[in-house]
Amino acid sequence: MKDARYDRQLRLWGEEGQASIESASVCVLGSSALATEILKSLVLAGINSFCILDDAVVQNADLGNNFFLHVSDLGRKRGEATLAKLKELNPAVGGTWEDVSLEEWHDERMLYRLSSFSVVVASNLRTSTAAAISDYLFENSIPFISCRVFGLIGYIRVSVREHTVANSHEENPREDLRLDRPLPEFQAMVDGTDLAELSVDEIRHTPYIILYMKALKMYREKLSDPSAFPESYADRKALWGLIESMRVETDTGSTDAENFDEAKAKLLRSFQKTTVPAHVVEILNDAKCSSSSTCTQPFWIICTGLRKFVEKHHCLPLKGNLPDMTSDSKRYARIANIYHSAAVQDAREVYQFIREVERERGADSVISEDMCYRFCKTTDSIHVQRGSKISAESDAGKIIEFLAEENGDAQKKSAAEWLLLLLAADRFLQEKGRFPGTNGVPCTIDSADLKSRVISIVRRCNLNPDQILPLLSESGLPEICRYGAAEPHVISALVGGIAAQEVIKLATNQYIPLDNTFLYDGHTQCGATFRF
Amino acid sequence: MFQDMVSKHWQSYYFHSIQYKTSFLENRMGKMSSSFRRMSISNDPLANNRWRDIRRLTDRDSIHLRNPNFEPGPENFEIIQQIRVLVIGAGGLGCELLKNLALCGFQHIEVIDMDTIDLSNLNRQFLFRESDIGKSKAEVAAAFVNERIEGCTVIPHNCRIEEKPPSFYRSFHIVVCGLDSVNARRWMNAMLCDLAQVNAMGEVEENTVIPMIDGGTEGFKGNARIVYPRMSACIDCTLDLYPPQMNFPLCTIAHTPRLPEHCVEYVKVIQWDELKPFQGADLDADNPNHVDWVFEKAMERSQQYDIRGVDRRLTQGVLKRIIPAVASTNAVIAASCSIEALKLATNIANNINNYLNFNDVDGVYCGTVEMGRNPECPTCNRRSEVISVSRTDLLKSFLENLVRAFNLSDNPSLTTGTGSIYEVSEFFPDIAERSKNNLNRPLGDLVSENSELLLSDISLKSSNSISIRVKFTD
Ligand SMILES: [Zn+2]
Repeated sequence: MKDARYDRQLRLWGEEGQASIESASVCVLGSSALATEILKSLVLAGINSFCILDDAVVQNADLGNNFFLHVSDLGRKRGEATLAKLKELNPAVGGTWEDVSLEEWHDERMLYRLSSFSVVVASNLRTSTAAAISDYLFENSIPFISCRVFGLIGYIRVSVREHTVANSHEENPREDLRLDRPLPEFQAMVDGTDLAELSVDEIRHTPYIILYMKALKMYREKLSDPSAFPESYADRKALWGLIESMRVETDTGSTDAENFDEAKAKLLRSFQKTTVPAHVVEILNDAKCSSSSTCTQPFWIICTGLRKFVEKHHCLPLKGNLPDMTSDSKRYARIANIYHSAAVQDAREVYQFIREVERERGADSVISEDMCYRFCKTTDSIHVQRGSKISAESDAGKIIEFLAEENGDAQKKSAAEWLLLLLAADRFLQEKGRFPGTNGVPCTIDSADLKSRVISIVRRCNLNPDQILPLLSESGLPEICRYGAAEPHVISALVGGIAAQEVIKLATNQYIPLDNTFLYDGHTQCGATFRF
Repeated sequence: MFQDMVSKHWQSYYFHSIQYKTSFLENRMGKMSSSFRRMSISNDPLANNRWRDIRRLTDRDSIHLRNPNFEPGPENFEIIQQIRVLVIGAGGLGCELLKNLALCGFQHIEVIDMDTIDLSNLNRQFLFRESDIGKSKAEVAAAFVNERIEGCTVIPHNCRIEEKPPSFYRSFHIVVCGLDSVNARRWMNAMLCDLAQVNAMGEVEENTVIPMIDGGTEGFKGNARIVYPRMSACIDCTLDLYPPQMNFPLCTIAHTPRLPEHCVEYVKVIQWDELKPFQGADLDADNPNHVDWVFEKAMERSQQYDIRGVDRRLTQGVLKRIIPAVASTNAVIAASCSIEALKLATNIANNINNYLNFNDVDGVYCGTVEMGRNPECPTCNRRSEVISVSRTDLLKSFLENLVRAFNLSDNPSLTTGTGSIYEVSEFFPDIAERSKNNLNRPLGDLVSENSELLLSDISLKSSNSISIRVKFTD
């Protein structure tokens, strides 16, 4: 039943990803359109539970932008009304609502409450409030996402102290054939193959990986260098000439053969020296992988085990999957099995190291042999991301740097301008008790007012407004006032979808999260990423 | 990967940009009002308005967007409420589209889908519940939105898109597609290209152009695009964007299997017909017993050939050609499509030009690229057959000649961009009645010289219809 319901997503993140999602408890601050759109995707995906914190009351404008409200909910508490409709989406997901006001969110007691969730998501919080929450959660290693919709603008900020990725799903994973240090059993199989003895049909069904090994042998003999390995374009071209020489003619005089075509197409991807990529080396050199570390997080224990393996063998454990290649079934299956068995053996060795590390660190044994085996299939794409706290002041400085960058990308500059104007709108709110464009004042007056907030932000960064203001477009300020803090449903749906996926990334540890700020502009429907 | 496809595309076709006129809908709707002039907002009359957040955008002027067709004011929002939108598909994208469009303020929405609800839909098709399994997607989705969003009317059509005549499609201002099949997308595209008329001067008549917004997703990737039929790149202009269906060569499946997929395909293509399980029933990938049978046989074959990796999920995936899908990507792409629909209706911002890529596997990417037209595209650059006739020839004999010349069925239809000349279907009795009366009228009364006519028939598969221009001999 559960398998069938989640079938389409299990095909992406697998049972282990789904299990992580099903143990995630998510807290969402707010229950407006943006908040419910985020929750919709999370409840559908099957998180363990969610909690809405909000004390807002349903008003007319909510009925025009929030799908999880009905006209009959007017006047009710919005968090309570949306909760019931969100829970209908998936009976397996638990949900609660607490009648808490925005102002309480950064008091000590509430912050402590927030640290009991696996991920906290804020919707439409002004930057200073988000910064206060981020301060606390960052220290306590709770991932925090702050998102906003302001007219046609969308904003997502991921603040996470450390995020680790294992079992990643790369679209084009590196192949791991080890042609430079072939598996002994495979080498024996190649040595036992004499192409001269094969029929034309057998040659045309010889897996290209065997052709490679035969050509490599000739290549080395030609250069009188038993360890030569093609690394440059010219080298590969020379090698290709040798492969070509193995072609045979069929009865019809044709030399066309799929396996030779594949050999040509895959040449570059296949002839890669077996190395430990730099970013993996960096992770393995992390203090958490050192013998003196006491870190008991599963990712770091596994990586410490991996480090021991790498120290011994100077390479990563074999991935073990053989790409498809034209072949008769028998030879393909034989090679596939050689690679698979070697990978199982490598994983077993890594597992022994992991058990050692667990004992050294006095950790409970939580890593199963199966988990270790899956981990070993993608060790070349493990990833560690370390983020930052949200801070209105330091963010402003960075934004202005982007604006002032001389050869900066125009689209990114425009996005930076929106970020700066959002900060200005926050100051406007702080000082006037409302957002620009939201009451009886003509937009032109609010626009002038907003400009003075921009100036004061620039001054606080110890910069000269006369130099910075000309970097802004003339239309941004009045456009922000036009928006009047509107939260149109469509923009909320788009930002909510992206934010929900970021929560899933943080929960599954299989994908690389946003690093760390995304700004979407509904005018162009383009996004830009900033790192603060 | 999307980027690669795009750059490949850039090289392969001749590109030229078009300055789109954003006034299609104004032409089609007629100007709602030109008397309204912008006034400064001296109080916030919208504070307690249900549509406050959309109307901030529709009512207030913007110097940011610099579009002369943008006429801010209350009338601009009223246009949304009068526009007729057709949503194709009530699946992952369709459910989202209906919600989004209803909350943009659109009130006349229709939706077509022939599918019924399955348990595996429920991880993203949020308008459906377990108790809805087996019911029509279009009907359940429409009823849900109608109940939830006061004032919005969604009319469901539980049928195939091919079952609707051109006159049905002609009645909409915007078509938004949320489909998972390239063929259905192409059919819809061809229909809208057919409806876009070219006048005797060779110019596209803008009031016959129905913009098509098309979304697609696969896993964490998606795209959204806008097509102005016959004016901008159409689906067929850029067919190489859609990956060809993976087909395994029969000889590999039969003689040299290597992958688990080969084993499943063997059972599906060869063993099912040979062994005729379930009293010779056709293989139904939705029937768990059938899937189990195939799985078991595929397992046997994989053991025979020493192939690893056959499991039930893979078996079903191969049988149904399942595309993985999550709620979040559908939400993003449907929102992107809906934003373009809202822009088309109101000009609150300029439409994208003309193709959006989204991907959030690694960080988040969202950006647009301009697809150019393919001048050789047979769908949006269709050439007309010119037929010489006398003004006094009756429609009846003209049709008979066409049926003979093009090998058609006995019930073809003949339409112009704006109306029907002959179209007999049970769905539209009025038109059928009028069509039958037309049979005995002379062509001179029914068609004008050199204007484009569309001949449609169920026998025409690749393209939906044949374009015809009449030349009078007298
Ligand atoms: Zn075309």
